[in-house]
Amino acid sequence: MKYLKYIFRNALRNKLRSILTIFSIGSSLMLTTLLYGFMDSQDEVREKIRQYDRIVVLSQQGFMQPLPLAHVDDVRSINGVLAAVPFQWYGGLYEDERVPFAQFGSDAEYYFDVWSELQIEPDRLEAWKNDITGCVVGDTLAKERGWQVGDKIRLKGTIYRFDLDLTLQGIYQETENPGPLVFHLKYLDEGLRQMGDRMSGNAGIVYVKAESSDVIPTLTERIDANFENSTKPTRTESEDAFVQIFMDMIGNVQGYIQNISLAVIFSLVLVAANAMAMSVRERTSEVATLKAIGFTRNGILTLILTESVFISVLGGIFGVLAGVGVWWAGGVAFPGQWPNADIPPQTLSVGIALSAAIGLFAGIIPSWRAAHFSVIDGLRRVV
Amino acid sequence: MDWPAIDWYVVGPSVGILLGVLVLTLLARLLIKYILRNLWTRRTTTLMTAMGIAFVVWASILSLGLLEGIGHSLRVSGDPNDLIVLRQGSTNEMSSTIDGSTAQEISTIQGVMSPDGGAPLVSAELVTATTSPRRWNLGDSNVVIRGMTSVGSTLRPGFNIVEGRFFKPGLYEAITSRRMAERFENAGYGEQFPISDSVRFRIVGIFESGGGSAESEIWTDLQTLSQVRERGGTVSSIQLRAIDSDAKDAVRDRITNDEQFGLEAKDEVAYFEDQIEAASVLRFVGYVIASFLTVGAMFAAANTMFAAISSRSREIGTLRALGFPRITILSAFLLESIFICSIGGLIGCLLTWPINGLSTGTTNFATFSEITFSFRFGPRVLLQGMGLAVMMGVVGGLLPAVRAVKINIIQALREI
Amino acid sequence: MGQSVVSVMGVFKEFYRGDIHIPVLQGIDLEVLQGDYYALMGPSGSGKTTLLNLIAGLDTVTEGSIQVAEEEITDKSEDELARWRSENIGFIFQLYNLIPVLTAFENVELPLFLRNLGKRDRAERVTTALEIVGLGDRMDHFPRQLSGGQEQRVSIARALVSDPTLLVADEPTGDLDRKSGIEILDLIQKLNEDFKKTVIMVTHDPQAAERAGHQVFLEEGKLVSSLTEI
Repeated sequence: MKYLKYIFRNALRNKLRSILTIFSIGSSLMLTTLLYGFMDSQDEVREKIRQYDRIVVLSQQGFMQPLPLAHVDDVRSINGVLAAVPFQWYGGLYEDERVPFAQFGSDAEYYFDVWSELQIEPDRLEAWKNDITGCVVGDTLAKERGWQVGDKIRLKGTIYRFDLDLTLQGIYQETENPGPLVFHLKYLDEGLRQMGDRMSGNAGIVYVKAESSDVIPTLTERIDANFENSTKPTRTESEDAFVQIFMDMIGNVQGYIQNISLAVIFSLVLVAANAMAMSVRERTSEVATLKAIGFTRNGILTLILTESVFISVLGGIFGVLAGVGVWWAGGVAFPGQWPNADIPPQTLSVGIALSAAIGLFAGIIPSWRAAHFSVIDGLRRVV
Repeated sequence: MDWPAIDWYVVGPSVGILLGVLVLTLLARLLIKYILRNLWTRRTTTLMTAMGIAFVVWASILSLGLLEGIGHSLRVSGDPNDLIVLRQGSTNEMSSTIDGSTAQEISTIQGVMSPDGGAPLVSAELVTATTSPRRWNLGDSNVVIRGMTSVGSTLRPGFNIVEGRFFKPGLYEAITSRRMAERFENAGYGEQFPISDSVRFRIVGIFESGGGSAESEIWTDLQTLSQVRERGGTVSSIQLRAIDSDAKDAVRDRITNDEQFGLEAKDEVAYFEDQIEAASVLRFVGYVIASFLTVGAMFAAANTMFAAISSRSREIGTLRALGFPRITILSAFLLESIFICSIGGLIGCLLTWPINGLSTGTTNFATFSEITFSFRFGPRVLLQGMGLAVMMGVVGGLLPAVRAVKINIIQALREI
Repeated sequence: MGQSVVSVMGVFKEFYRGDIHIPVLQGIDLEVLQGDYYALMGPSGSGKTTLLNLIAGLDTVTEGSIQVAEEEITDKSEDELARWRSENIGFIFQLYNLIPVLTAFENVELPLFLRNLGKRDRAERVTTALEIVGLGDRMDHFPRQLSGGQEQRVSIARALVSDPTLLVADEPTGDLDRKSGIEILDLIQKLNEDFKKTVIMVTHDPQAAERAGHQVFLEEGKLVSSLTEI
């Protein structure tokens, strides 16, 4: 402890070098913080979702293949199901927008039973239920498009031949993620049926609210067993497993992030080791003096290792803080597209621990060298 | 060349960098030997810095090679006279539905190519997807199953069966690419791939198609797929070839302007360019990663150069006293920094060797279906990597080099 | 009477360290003729090295004029001075200041890079210079493979090789043992006598100064005829 001041002064002696090392470690660890933050935040998202006790019924062929509407009522009658609604992606284009925003056909009667955490005024909900062409949107979407209750929203079908002429009946309060526009699936289905379109009678997927989290494992099995011999067998997943399907689809992100991070860490150990070696080389005669006045090898080793770890951890703290800053800025700049979760604290502490490890590894060779050269050489040596 | 749109962004800066380095070399020519000797004398430091740079360049190239691979897999080397017809408003085949009878009508339009005595080159195709597990427990993804006839394969330049044979209609047979066969369970040659809950298609052939998007698909007979999927004869898209480019314009306008059709014909080349846009988020992420890494490496290079200069200030003073101009000394130190980083860049490029061609996949979130691709570290990606390395050298070396020429000669000469 | 090589007229040099005003040279006049060998002596802080640096074009005057080979150097820019130095001045430093990563030959060759000379011409002149200082057999040695005296001789060869108007030496024996010091002084004397080189040497060693034809003493920034005993 009493050497702390000396170590601190040494670290500050070549301020430029220390700062460059800190920045180098910082900017790279900022990247790994963001990458791992992204990966870990997905776990957080799944963790959060789990509290809502929802499950999702898909076609055995995946969510691209629709389930028949009749399945919804069948699911609803299964023991352990609190509420069930169809959930059909519409994918229509609004005005001259080129990319569809989130629009789903569902069932007004039960929608807010399945998403019970969403808040909507009872009279608005009532109005929606009573208007077959009515729809509701989340407050993010409403704010983005400047919609108010009573507005007409026309969506041009891309997948379906039936265009939707909707009236906004309510705006619901979201909890975390921006919510979709929801309309009566009946409205779309009736339209398609009248055109004689083969795509009528589809529910898309079925969203289910379970009675409690305890029943979910048996419930998913029960639902699948129920449809096993029907023409459209199902694959039922808890909502967090359903989200994971999308994560899996991106591919081996984890492997990619690990590879990049590993390369970064290798690089940083070399960079930090190099900086430390330069410092030690410039201080050769000083270290020799320390030895001459009676410092042990271990003492010198500890001094230099501590300095290396100290600088590296400063870089780590800087990197992690910068990473959190960029993450926050990203959330502000790209609302909706940015992962809707904070970087978990353990990711941050791992980042800082990592920087300490980098400092430790980087310090090994330079400190060992400093500890082992001969005092006479060191005192005489002119660098 | 692949992805020609981006070429100038690479060629331009590359030429610029090369010219810059050339000018520096000319300016520093008197001290080249001095620089090289210094690099060699301080080879531990040189190598340590270079290796640090190498890992960073490697990670950057990894990202860029991934993007290049994705771009290549979405692209198709289509014939310039090919058109793709989708339902109006649809941005991709997955969300498009067309009546089967329309395909018949379209094949009679004037200007559609019909080879001597053969059927017109019009291919109605049904695109569906099925969720299928990847091999090695890498999770599930949606696989595109394309129903077509043999005309469809004629329309794909570079289509070639490399193993087995083409599927036969009505027999629950399918063909796919080597990459798909390696990536998905049950998609291997001779295996039975489940296409619906009760139907499995036997993979009877492996094809190649110039590495483009077709190599992320499974192809089977249109009629069979339509029955299995209960599509009642609807198709997703119609692909056709026009006689020449004038005919192509005529056919395109004819189809797009016909209100009865409610369809839209696009140049296939343009259509696939749009599909590549789907990868733009990934490209953004890739470039962000590469730039963060580059900035970090610049600091590292600056560190090494500052140390090099402070330990050599008496030498610099001597060179100045002997009459070497400041610009020569500045260029020499910049060049030294660039050398170190370029060595790192070269090592980084070499380290990507084992990954080159390694195939993997991701999902195209525009269609929610899997695209398989191979890492491609072509000349462009390697050039980009080397460009980053040189940039690290220039930015990292600039301040130290300026400091080198700003030193006070008299003090420097006496420094120990 | 020989031609004037260095003409220092009314030179003042002042430094400022923060607010403190330090007058270093206070009106120096000095005339050095072709073939002269001057020893500048004086206690430390007297300004002798500063005067040498001014004459060698490493530093600029606060006031006054310095002409070398009848060329005014006080109004030159830094890059003009650099060019001028490469043509007119041969430096001999106390710490030799050889480039450690270059061989003896390459160190001596360095100033010739600033001249338009072919490779063969350079090699010839470098070889001659190294032979004059007696190191014809040490050309491929690196500085660390040489003794202090040998290093200083390489440094002298480097000063000679571009055939400068003036050789300036700052304590050339200051870092050497006695025997090597004498050898170096012999060498400088030989350059002055046999090769008619004009030499200005800063030293605090009276025995070294005796070798020079002229001794000049500096005290508190002024030239004095002889050093007052304190």
